[in-house]
Amino acid sequence: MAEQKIFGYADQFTVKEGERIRFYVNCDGSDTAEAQLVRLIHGDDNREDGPGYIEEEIAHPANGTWAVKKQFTQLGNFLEVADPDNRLKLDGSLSMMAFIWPSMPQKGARQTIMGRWDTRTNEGFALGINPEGYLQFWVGDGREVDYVTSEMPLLKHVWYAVGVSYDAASGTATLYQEAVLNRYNSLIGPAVPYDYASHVRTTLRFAQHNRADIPFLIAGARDNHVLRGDFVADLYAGKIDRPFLTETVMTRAQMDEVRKGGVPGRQGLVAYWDTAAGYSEAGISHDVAETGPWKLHTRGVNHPIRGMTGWNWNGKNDCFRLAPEEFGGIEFHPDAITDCAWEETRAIEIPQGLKSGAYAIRLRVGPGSGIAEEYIVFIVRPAQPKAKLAFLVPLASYLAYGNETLSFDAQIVQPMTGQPPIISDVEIETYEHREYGLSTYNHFEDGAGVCFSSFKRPLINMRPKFRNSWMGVPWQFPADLSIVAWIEHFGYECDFISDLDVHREGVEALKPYNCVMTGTHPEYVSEKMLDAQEDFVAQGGRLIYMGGNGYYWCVNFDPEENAVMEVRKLDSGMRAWAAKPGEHYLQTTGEKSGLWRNRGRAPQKLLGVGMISEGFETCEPFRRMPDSWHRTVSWITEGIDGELIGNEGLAYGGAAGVEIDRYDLSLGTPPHTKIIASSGGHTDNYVLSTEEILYAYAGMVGTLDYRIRADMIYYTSWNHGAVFSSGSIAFGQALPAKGFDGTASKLLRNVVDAFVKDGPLPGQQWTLEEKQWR
Amino acid sequence: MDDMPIIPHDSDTDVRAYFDAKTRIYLRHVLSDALIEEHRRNPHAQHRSEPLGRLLFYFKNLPIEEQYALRRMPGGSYRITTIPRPGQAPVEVDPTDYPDELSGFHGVFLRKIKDLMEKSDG
Ligand SMILES: [Fe+2]
Repeated sequence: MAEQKIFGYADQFTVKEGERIRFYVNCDGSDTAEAQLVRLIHGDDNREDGPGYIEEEIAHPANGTWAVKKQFTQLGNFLEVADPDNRLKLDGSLSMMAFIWPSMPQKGARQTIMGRWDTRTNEGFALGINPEGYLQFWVGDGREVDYVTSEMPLLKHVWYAVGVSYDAASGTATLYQEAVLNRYNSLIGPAVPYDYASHVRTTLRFAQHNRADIPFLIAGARDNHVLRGDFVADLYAGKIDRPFLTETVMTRAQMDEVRKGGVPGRQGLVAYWDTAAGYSEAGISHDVAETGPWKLHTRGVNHPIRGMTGWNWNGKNDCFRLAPEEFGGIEFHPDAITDCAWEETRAIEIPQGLKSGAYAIRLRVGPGSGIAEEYIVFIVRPAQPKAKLAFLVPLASYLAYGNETLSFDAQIVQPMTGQPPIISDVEIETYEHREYGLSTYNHFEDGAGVCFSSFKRPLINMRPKFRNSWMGVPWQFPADLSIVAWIEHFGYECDFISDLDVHREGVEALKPYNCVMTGTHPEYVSEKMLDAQEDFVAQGGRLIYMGGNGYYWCVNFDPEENAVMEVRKLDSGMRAWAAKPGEHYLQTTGEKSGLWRNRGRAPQKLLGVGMISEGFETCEPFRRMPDSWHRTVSWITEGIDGELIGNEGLAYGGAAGVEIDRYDLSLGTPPHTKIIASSGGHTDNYVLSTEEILYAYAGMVGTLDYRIRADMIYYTSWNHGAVFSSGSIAFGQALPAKGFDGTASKLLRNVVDAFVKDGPLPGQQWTLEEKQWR
Repeated sequence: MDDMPIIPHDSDTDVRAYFDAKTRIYLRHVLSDALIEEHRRNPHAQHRSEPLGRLLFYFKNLPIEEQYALRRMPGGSYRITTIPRPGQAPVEVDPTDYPDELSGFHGVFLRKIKDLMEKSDG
């Protein structure tokens, strides 16, 4: 019997009572799976130091046996052209031309730039790159393929103008290949003495035969498999800028005109994709403008990256908003995936009265563990807000890390964590097959950073019990369940909402609550999320920032596809990759991505603290600081004996660590902020965050630099609003330790008990004499 | 110029090879039973000696192909494997079951010492 494995995803991340949620499941080795709705309460299966894994099985009509099957996933970026009248089915002479910047020309497999080609039956015509990296034009008659091939291999990361003129009457096919490299647009500069050009002419033995049902594609070609059916193969890696197709035999002089920036003449033009058209101040759509005679609707699949520097980019304008015509590059990656687009397996209704919380459909086949067990996670929101407390689930950050494979791909990870990775079967399995896509911590096979991540695919690390392999402890969603378990343990009424809900609905989503708590590592936030939380606090809301390295990257959820988050990593900050020059702006909003700090919105302004260091491998306790005895805040530490706080935890035995944040007036920490407690004595594996560094020097490490610590802070805002920040990822994982009775847990109880109550906060009776700071 | 290589040799690797060889001469010189025992007592200890600190720096900066992982076994123990690479499953390099992470880390440490001693250069 084949190995049994099961993976799935849902169409939504949050769903309300009474609404439907759809599940998509791919299963090998079984045509049925046992389904069970569960409420997730604790995610860390470490039973030595904490309560272990806890889920609650929920009665639901959908529980029981589900019919499941093998599903196939279309990986890769390409452009689909809607051509119902077969305008692009050119049976006679034709020419094609495009600017290209190949990123893996010597890939060892054929890549299609554009064409109407069937890989299985050898029918049609296409322009592409052969496995050895040479430009090629080929035609097929349904039996054989004939082709013309360039004499000079394409260099990676160099812009070229490429094309073909094909005279059907004589059978003559002429390739056009010229570099359009300038001082800025390519990896190498004009000083490199290389012959880029090639112009080869051949007489082909036969003409193309075009079947009516073959699609015209840009960056891919039609293929077919007996079980899978039609799919797209021969995917291209790199950028394509302004491709077009004519029914004429273009001369070399005409192609030279286009190479110099001329627009192809209308005479004989069949399709022209003006990849730089339609940009706005608010970003770029996935629809690509086709401005030829037929205006064929063209759309990117799996989020090709738009607004990238084009063939004519000259280094002066750094954003597609300033000079759209220089940013016509669309970047394609054969391993991109933002929607598995599987057939629906089952839809279920969320019953009225189901308690708000973190849920999953648990699916088991065969042995029912490891890769034979899947949890498709989602959040249930109440139909109407019910509680005074809300848990704000950081979906954007889950997506950022979704399916990360740092342990396997990133040499930097062991230097950072200081320990070998601790790997599990599910990671090994998904890494081997690579069909569920990558995280924004990954690079594509061609080396480019991944800037889109989606929940319309299985996310193997957004599930309970999963332990991050490079650290050996739970991370993101399973770590956040330690906060969920704490809320459950103390019986707080709590509504769960996601940052995507806040992104869509703004402050209205937060207003019903007195107190909102974040997850352990809400690193990725959009402007709308920040605005909503800032307004919430200023209007009297209380925010508990339960994390470290939070509110760091500027991101967006795609307005055309809410399952997809976009980020660009650049300039500074602890980052997995660096966007190329000129490619620092979000395609989906037009705003500059990178660190919020570099846009005048350091996390300190709202949270009081911001990223200072990360080190993993060990954690420390907090120690009370002088401010904590101040009469306005002494209630926070009430009932805690001694000076240490959080000398326990499921993340390396302490509440301060993993990634930590610091109070810094120079970055906008509110001036009346009180430091309740700070950590220190972190190991030298804790290093200063890169955005802090102007001049680098020896000694920016835990035992030598006093700035490397987590600050636990408190400040008050207008209308009885307030912010409490733990400043440490490990804080949330400290809560379940010692039977939820540790000092971190006690302190948080003081804060939450006060924050959920209406009216003034404790300690505010003293503010009359300190009223310049409320 | 027609002799431009399509995928050029990265001469940077020659420099690294020289640098690493020099480092290995030093590390072999300071390696001792006492140093191994220092690591065994606490793989995470901050106040490690300079020779151990430098040895660990060399180990953690090795290329991925020369690194190891601990694989979580169904029974709760750990075994040492190579790091999976694209299209390459992890290979178990040692059938020893390590009862916990820290002893596994020390097992990886010993394996890397073996590799260091077997390098013929420097
Ligand atoms: Fe992070």
